[in-house]
Amino acid sequence: MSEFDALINDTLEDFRAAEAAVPSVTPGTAAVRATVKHRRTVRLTTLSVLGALLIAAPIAAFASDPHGNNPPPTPADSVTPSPVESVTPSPVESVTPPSSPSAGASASAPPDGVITLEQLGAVKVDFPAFASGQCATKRVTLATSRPKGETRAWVAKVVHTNLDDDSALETAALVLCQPGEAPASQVVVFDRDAAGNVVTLGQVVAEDSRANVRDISARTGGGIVADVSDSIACCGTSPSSERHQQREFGWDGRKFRQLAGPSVFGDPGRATDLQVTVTDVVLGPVTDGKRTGTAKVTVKNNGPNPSGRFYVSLENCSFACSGGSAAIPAWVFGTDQAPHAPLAAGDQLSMTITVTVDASFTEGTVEASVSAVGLNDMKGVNDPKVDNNRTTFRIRTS
Amino acid sequence: MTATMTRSNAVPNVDVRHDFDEFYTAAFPVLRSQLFAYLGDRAEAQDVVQEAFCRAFSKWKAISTYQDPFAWVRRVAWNVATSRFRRRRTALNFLRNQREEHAEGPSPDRIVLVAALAKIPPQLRKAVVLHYIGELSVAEIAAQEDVAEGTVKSWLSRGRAALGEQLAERKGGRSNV
Repeated sequence: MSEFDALINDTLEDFRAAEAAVPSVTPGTAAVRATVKHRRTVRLTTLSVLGALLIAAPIAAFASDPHGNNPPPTPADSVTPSPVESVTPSPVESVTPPSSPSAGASASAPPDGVITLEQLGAVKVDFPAFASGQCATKRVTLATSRPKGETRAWVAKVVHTNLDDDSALETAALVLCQPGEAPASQVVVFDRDAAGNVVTLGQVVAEDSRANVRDISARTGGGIVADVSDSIACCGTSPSSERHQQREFGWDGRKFRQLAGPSVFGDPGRATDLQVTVTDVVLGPVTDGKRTGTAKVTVKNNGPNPSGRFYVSLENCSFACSGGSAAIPAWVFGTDQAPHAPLAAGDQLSMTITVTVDASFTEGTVEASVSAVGLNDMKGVNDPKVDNNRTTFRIRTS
Repeated sequence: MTATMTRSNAVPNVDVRHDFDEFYTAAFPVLRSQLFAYLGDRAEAQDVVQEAFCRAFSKWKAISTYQDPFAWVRRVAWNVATSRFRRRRTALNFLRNQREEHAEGPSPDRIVLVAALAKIPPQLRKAVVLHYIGELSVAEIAAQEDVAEGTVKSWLSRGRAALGEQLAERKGGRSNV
């Protein structure tokens, strides 16, 4: 039993009781029927998909895909890591580029980045926020064992390995935030600057909703090996239910990235990186009280696998998506119930849509998001880079 | 034909094959409560649920034959809600929404829960709402989200801990229970 159980249960019960007392006023099925009828009419009469252009082009980007096929980091003479980018398995919020630890120092005298657990716990540090949003991460002193009753970040383990371009070792720390039974996790790299101060180099890997970092060890040749599990055995779950993978991460001369090992759980054939882009719509002159314009919607499969069936949803308009002064198609490349055929790795497909709006329409924005499902089922296909699954485009008069 | 709600799983028990209207009447409030807890805005929750029913109605001939049409509508509603939430997931938006809700006179207890839920990460919030308000089992959430049951249990564990912290703060100190 958690200390909050009674509080949570009482509050939930209050919520249920309050909701049960809400008058059951709904928009009604008449409104549903009217909306559906209107949409059908709008789509039939005002929108047309002009054409589709298939561009099948192998892309060189696959060679630099972050899920493998990359050389291990190589020592350089004078460059030290400063930019830190997100790496698999999870998209990581952008972080302030860490300061270069050896700025101003001689390239021949790299700083000693070997920091013990006790030394790390004795200084204040900054590091990226946890995906859960819990535990402070700015100017904090990390605990060196799990703190009791606190939402304070702590270091479960440190390993010493080369994680930049100089030959000296740095310190990779498995940092946890554990207010409940299952901790949030990330691996952060610390080094020393020329003055001997502990500085944060950046985040090597963070958990996502389907991958938890459980342990780390030094990787031969530099970098770390992370033991990642798809779940954490808590709350009555048997540890045998966890699936574990060994994923290798390191510094490639420009950023931290995954160097080897699987990047997703489950069938790796059901994982690929889809990207959607849409050009802005520039409306033409008024004709018969209407303006029209076109947008090119492009879906690209960055690999490494075929995409599965896919569709693009147009939604979250800054105006009424359909009806009113404008009409936007709900789907491009089929629909959620009838998706488009898969794209091979490296291929892309473009489709031009035409938008018709009233003459009074000035401008607005629309979101486009791409989704993929299996060849023979409607279950989602994993996408290790979700940030490029969605984009916003503008509709404007000039 | 009578529409009833089973308390155990809050899934409308109606003969949906024949009556979209009864299905709508039974299911709409259930989904609206869930999405209200998730989005923090009753009007937006209503829009989201209405949109899900519009999509269902446009395909009702097929959906009414599904074994569990309610699950289909629920999944669509949550997908729409998640898309909308991504656009406006800022504390500022949330506070603005709460002021609007307060002006409409919801009970303080409801505000406490919704405000506390708004402060926990979306994935954890979704799991908590589906489990404790939607009354879905761990297995059902795992199926909807296409993850392992252990992952759902992790989400629920973290979600309860985070929710408890928020509730304790809002009720004037940590719980001593």
